[in-house]
Amino acid sequence: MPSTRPRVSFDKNGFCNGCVYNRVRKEITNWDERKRELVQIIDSKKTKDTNTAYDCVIGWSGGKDSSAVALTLKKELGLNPLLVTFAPLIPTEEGEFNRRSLLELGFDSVLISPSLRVSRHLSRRFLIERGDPKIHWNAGINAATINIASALNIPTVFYSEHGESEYGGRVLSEASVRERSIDEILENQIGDDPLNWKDELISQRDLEPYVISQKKMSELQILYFAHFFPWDIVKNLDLVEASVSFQRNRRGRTYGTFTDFDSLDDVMDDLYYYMQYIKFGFGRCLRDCARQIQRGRLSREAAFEYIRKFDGEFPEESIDSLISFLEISRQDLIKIIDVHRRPDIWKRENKGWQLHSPLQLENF
Amino acid sequence: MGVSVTPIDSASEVLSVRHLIIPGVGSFQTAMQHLKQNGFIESLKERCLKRKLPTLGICLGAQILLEEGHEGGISRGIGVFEGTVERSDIHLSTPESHTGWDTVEIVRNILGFKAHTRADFFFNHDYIFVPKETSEVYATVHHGGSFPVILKKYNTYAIQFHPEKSQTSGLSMIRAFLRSGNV
Amino acid sequence: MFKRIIGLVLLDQGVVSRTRNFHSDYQYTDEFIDTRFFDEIAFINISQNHNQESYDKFRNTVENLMRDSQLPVSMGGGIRSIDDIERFRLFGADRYIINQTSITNDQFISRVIEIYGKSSVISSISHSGEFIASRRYVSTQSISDRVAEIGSNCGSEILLNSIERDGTLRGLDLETAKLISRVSKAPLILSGGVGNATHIDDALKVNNVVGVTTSNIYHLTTTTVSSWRSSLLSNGANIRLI
Repeated sequence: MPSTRPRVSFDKNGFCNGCVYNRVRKEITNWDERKRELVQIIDSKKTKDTNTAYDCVIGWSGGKDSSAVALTLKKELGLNPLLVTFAPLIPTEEGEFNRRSLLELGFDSVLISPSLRVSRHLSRRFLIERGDPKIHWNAGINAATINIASALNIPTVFYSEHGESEYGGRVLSEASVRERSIDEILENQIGDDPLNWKDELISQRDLEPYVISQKKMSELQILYFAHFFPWDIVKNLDLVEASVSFQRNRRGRTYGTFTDFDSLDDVMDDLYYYMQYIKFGFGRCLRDCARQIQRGRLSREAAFEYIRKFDGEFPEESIDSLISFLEISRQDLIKIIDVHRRPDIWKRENKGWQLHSPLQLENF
Repeated sequence: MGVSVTPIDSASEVLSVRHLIIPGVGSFQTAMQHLKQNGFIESLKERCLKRKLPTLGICLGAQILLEEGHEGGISRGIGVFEGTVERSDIHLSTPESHTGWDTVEIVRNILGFKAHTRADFFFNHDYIFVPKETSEVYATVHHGGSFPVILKKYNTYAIQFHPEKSQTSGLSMIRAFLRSGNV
Repeated sequence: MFKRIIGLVLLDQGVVSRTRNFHSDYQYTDEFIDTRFFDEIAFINISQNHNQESYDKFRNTVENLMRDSQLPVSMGGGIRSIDDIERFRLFGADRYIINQTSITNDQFISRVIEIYGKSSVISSISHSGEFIASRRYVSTQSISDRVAEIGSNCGSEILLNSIERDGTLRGLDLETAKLISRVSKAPLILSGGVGNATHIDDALKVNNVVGVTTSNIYHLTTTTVSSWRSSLLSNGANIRLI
């Protein structure tokens, strides 16, 4: 993991905390015990007043990970989850197809679609000011599950995995590996308080789909599926493809990486991950490779080849959808992107940009 | 602002330059020692009182334009304005440094600001003007008591606050100074 | 006098950084920092290594950011000698933030106050709740004892730096501020934990508190601060109208 990845930490041997977690902690965990714990935990929150139809809420995008969570909880534990989706900014065909596929199997779902006027404004503003067009979406996915779970009196919510411990980042506490707190959401997921987003065009009421209520959270338990089952994104993919008709990326390979099965539901993701490359000097490919290496599934040599070829690939075919949503011109988009290059990471070379220290295999 | 700025090295430059700004860092005593060593005192007096050329003293740079200062012991100032510079807590009910943005009351028209209006400026000082001539007081502030913050005599201005750190109100004051003086 | 919202820019080798419990965890370009809606800007050099290279990088970023700004500037980070003060002064500092968490700096600070004036010194004390703390550990010494020890040798304000709240977005530590205002009359600046405008509003209502800082990169951008100011003013907060 590169040191520019926000919040990552390294031990004295240079291993990032994601690697340590995957190589060491996962091996020694008693997963049967965790599974039993999970059933108890869900039951412990049930009372005569809680919802009798649904056992839990799952934050669901229709992708391989959240669908695997839904399938596992239903099949292995016999639970009836309510799937809650926060609408992608620019829905893809693959995303919609994959959601429908799972629903065909027999799940109930709720789709929260926020005002496009507000979403577009915030997306453009955050792209320009912060280099991240999905900051509000990160707030929304959290708020949506919390609001629905609270409204329907379903006290248990599942997210797929805790990114900070699985992939490298800041682990706030022991408890935060298991359960998502408001600190985790505000600090690590969003990085800001949605109440700060008022401006001349956005009022407090417009921010309703994004505001996280601490009061509602205190009545729920928001758990990570990956704390109870060994998390493996490839096994997730296998499970989902075996159970339903799953569409991979129509292009054949997702922009900026070597995979075709990850994060397919929002065209905005192409720009989101491209901005990661601009801001931190590493992109989607390096991130995907790092995850595979953390699990011992990919060699450094092979990974290096992928990264050299695909990391930081410009999402050319998605540009039209992106500028149409953001309502900016192509030139403006390029200008905006370039302003986010840190001068200590990037240098201007001829008419293009070069990383000061591009990845070398020896250092990898 | 489109004005060329050069630091002054010699006493003769003090007399020839069109507009002179005296900023202030440190203490009254050390500032005066420094000016004396470099022979600036007489030329400053001549510039302000005889030639009446546009001169702007800011904060400590303004305080040294008075006759006497009490910071770090009693020392003589340049004496363009009659009066002394004394610790604020002797005169005011508040013992703390006057640090922060405060609302200035304009007493007489000065540097583009009209009498009986107010504007906010940034202050950072522990000593205040105690001038003898109230007719030379152009603006005051209230902080544990009212005290003068702009003095003017001929074309010399002594400003207690920092117009150069006071965004728009400060900038307009500096611009007005640079246009002043019929030079 | 108005109370102040201070933009706190943490620079690690000249790169804008966000910290959590004082550990730098996110770095960013300075392009998006807008000083216009703050009352004061503070720059702290949080580099691990203090050498000529890191000073140059610090200076470059400061010059870049303050080029078109006419606001008071404070600087701090590793100030231990008059040379350090002079260096910051030449970089454009009006005031100096000096760490007074431990007793080692006391004599030095008296000297600085003597030479540069009380109003040019801000004493900063790092704490975790009511105890003195550093980035590595929380001590058993109470912060009110330390403040009483410092007495009037604190310059114009005491900056209370909450390690516990730093980066949390959960709100400033008002309990400790109130505790300190019972022990000392010194004006206080609170640092660590600003999440939204309500946190600032609540803090500025505490008697001795004269200012708050935020260093969250997203808070240093134009729209956030200007919308804070509007909210705060319509709630009657004692801040100046820009």
